[in-house]
Amino acid sequence: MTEIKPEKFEKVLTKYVDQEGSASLDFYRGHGGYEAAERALKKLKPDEVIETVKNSNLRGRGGAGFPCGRKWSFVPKDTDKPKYLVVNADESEPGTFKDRVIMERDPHQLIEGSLISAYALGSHICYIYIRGEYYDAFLSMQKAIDEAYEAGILGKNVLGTGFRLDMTMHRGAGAYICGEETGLLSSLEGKRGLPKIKPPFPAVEGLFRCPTVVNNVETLACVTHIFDRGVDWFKSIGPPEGPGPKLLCVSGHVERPGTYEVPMGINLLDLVNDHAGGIWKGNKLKAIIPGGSSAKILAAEECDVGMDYESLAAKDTMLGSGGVIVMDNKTDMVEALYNILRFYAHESCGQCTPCREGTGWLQKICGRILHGDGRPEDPDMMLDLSKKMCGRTICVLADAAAFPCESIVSKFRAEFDEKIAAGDGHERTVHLGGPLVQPGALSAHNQERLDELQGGY
Amino acid sequence: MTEKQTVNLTINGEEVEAPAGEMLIKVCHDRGLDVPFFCYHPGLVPEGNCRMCLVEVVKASKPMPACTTPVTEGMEIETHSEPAKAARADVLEFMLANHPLDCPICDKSGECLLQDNSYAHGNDGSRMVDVKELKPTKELGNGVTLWGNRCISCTRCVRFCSDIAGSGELAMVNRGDRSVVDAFPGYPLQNPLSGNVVDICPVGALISEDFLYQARVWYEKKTDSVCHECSRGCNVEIQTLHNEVKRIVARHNDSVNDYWICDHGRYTYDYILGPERSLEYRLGDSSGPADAPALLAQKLKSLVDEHGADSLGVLASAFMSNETLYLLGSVLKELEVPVENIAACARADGKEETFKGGFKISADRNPNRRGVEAILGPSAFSSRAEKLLGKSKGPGLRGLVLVSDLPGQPLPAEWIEALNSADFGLVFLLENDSRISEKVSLIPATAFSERDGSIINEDGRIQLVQAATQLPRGALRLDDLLQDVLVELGAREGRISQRGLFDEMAGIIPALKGARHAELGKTGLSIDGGEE
Amino acid sequence: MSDAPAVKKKFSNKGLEFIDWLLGRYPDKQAALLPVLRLAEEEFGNIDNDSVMLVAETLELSPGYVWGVLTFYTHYRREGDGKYLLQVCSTLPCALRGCRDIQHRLEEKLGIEAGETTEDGLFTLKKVECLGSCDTAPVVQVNEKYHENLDIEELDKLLETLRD
Repeated sequence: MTEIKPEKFEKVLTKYVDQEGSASLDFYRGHGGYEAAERALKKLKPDEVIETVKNSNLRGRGGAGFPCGRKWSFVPKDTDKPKYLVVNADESEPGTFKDRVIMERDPHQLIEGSLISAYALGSHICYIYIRGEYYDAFLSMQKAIDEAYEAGILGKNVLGTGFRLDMTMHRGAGAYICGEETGLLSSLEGKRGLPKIKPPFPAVEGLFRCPTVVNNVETLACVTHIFDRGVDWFKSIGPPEGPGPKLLCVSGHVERPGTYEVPMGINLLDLVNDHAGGIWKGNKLKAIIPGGSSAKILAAEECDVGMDYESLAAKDTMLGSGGVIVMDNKTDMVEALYNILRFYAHESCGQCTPCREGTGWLQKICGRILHGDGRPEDPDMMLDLSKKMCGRTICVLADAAAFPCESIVSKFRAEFDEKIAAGDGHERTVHLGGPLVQPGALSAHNQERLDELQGGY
Repeated sequence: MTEKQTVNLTINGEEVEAPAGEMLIKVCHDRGLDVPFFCYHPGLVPEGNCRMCLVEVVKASKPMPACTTPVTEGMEIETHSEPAKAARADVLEFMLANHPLDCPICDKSGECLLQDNSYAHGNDGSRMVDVKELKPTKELGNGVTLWGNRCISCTRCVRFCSDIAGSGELAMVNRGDRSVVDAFPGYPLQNPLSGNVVDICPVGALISEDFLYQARVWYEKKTDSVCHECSRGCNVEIQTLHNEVKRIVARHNDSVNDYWICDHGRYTYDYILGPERSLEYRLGDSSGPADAPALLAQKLKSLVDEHGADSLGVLASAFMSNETLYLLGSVLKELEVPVENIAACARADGKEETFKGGFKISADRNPNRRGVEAILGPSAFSSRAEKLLGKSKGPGLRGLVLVSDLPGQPLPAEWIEALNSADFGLVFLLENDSRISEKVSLIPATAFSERDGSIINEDGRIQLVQAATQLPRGALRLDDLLQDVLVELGAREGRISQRGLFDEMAGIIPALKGARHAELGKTGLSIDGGEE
Repeated sequence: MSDAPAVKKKFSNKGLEFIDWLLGRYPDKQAALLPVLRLAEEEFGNIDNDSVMLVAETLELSPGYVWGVLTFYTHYRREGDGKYLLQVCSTLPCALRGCRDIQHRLEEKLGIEAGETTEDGLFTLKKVECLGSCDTAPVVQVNEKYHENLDIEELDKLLETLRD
């Protein structure tokens, strides 16, 4: 399999996004849009579509990296229940902003990919769950859907093939957990966005207890191009176990933050230095989070790695959502971790005990360390609590909070110890079962916190 | 009966056969295995959010919650392996992170799942030194108070209100460790089953104002009995301290009330020792309850001897137990009083209410109408009551014995007139009635918490009532009195036990079909031949 | 419930038409809850207790249920929110590029802290989590619109524009 070198790499997902009018149906059709879908619907059987996607080794681009074709094949063939295709456009993983680009500036490739997918699954109802904050993307998608209905691309007779598909935009309202597939389904059902117990898995029992497939925006956009240019083309880009073009989002301390379409497997340092212009202000690299805040951090010396599923897994981290957050040598890692932990504590749905209590607890410990009130045993306690949160919850938000905590505390332990030594908390080690902190003996941070709480008893 | 499919699995190394699709936690509990839990409740749809019931599944990479994991063929479970025990201890540590150390002031202490599970499965001491999340303490409605800090977000109360009561007043609000249960402003907890949320709250987050600070549960005496407020006959547990009823809670019975009771039955017990309770005793020149049997026997015998058996009339009630009705009938039979002279009264109907989860409050507000029908005959309430009342207005009726023990419902004026004008009038009285004349004999009636016996609910289920409180001074146990009267009349040799009495009664009364006391157990026995 | 407060608000005719259309897109009424809450937000400016009761009545859900769902999500306008909801993204990528300076500037200029509303009801300041615009950090979302690549100068200009 010839690996396409970066220079020869041709963008497909973001090929037209910088051009005027790229979002319109006319533009899309003018550049060959919907021809792939028409071919697939007219010439292939649904099973053949699934086989094609399986053969392509397309892996989910939302964060989990699950093989897309395999997920589709879990949907039972013989069932009276309606089958649902749900597009996960809830993009909320910190450091990730790629789906937005597609939805704002080239929405029809998402619609086309959804068409092909729905056809493969035998689904006639597609919901696009978009995060509430993405208002522009929502308007853009809605416009594209309206255009598609008018042109007979959606509705009762898709592209004249007799296939029927209805697509509905559904806005979220500010909850990261609704990016978790079953949290999303709960939210779609008009409930609190609480993830569901698995098994049963959504492919068997999902939305409204019917077979459901949830796919990420970028994944479905890839489906379009697989049927446009072929499986061989797709597999020739990047490593065979997880090929294809990939949108990587670079943010943080770089000269040129942005979304970059690159071949799977591109070297992380090349991405940061060549595409994103390297570390800003002449500073040096300290650490990179390679796959959204849920991914374990890589210290500078670990960043020489290919951006693909297997290579990153081998370094005990993950490609995740492809959100590359770069930190320079001036970054306070304790503060960075506190920020991340605050995020997870804020976003935890609160359903299950380890996550509900653990995320807030970790945030508080880190906060104390940050504000000079840390105790020598605190970093080890954070590591211990992180470990205990993993594998015990309904969804993996607990793990997503534990990974950055465990990796940042481990790899930057000195910074934590320094802050503890420099603060005044180290003289108040509280032994197991010892006295609780008395009011008046609280640090400024905790006193503030206590003061701001009104009511209570 | 369709044949149920079973699966074979291994629990703690032991081969087990269980119904296919049953939840693992039930399979374990049925075998007496201690798989602890908080959010699981057998009467509610499981949610699996507390994570306390995590067990080790040998081939899986992580522990599974037993309450939402159905058993499958070949499954291998360890409930007490090191990983399973570690999972439990860790979950408890997290659960206690924000939980206030309220035990010294919390009603739930002593019956708290968090206490019990911590003691059995938790770590020693706490590592949490940070400021805990604070949530409001507020009234939710219907006498239920929320102590928000204690809430562990198990959602049992939310599920109860939406699935069983069907009214959906309660919901979890907010997110993460700020989440707590709440009711929407202006829509407080209002459904007639609301008290059950206090029963099912695993911790002291939901507190009953009725029971607040009334008693420490480990000092209370707990007695199984049956609610007397309607003909459903919901199973209850009466809790008393120093002979006062402190609380009535639901008792599980799949054939009657599942795990629930209504608020009316739950909170109606003040009358037992309330200001209206009649404790006055006067019977001719009796010096006290000790000589009551002899006096009463003599009084009744002489009346019947002098004026004929037809001159004595009796009005029983649908509140009386089967045994009391039976003994009363026996006394009258011994005196050869015709059956037309034996009538019964009942409380007026209320409104029938049914709820989403299948619970029902009956329109019939009497606990033992079926008992009266079986033992005294159905016409006791209707035609015989009418006739007896008619007779009492004439010269023929000389003696009238009334049972006025319907809480909150005094007898109609006509009966009181008849009582007052009889030569010999005796009333077994529960609640004071100023209309009764001085010459009428008074014996205090037994309240439902003071009696042992059986009653029959509207479905034909005989259930045991047990005495939870002692009789107040001056009151007599009606069963004992009547047995002693029978002895005085020469019909018996001596008192027999409660058990013996039941067996004797069930052998004689056709509707009771020869049931044995030993068959009644905790959940009763159906005599209608329907579902058990 | 006889003594429950009466539902005071009503949806416009256009709103009711939209709800009708919506109900045709989902198999049950409950699924339309989030979009109908958005409609209430649009028609009434924010979602207060009266709006909750109207939505509950419209979709045949208990007000307690709607309340539980509403309080789960953080992106609905609630009672007391000012005309301009200034949502400052505070998650790591924005924090790495100076969102704290933006935050402090806003606190200074408006005289309020995060979570508060100015006395004239014009501005509410909120710290929010990742808005998905990390490459143009720091970012503030004003009502529905993203304002990206902010620095102090741009921010001051933005405030001026909003005040007019």
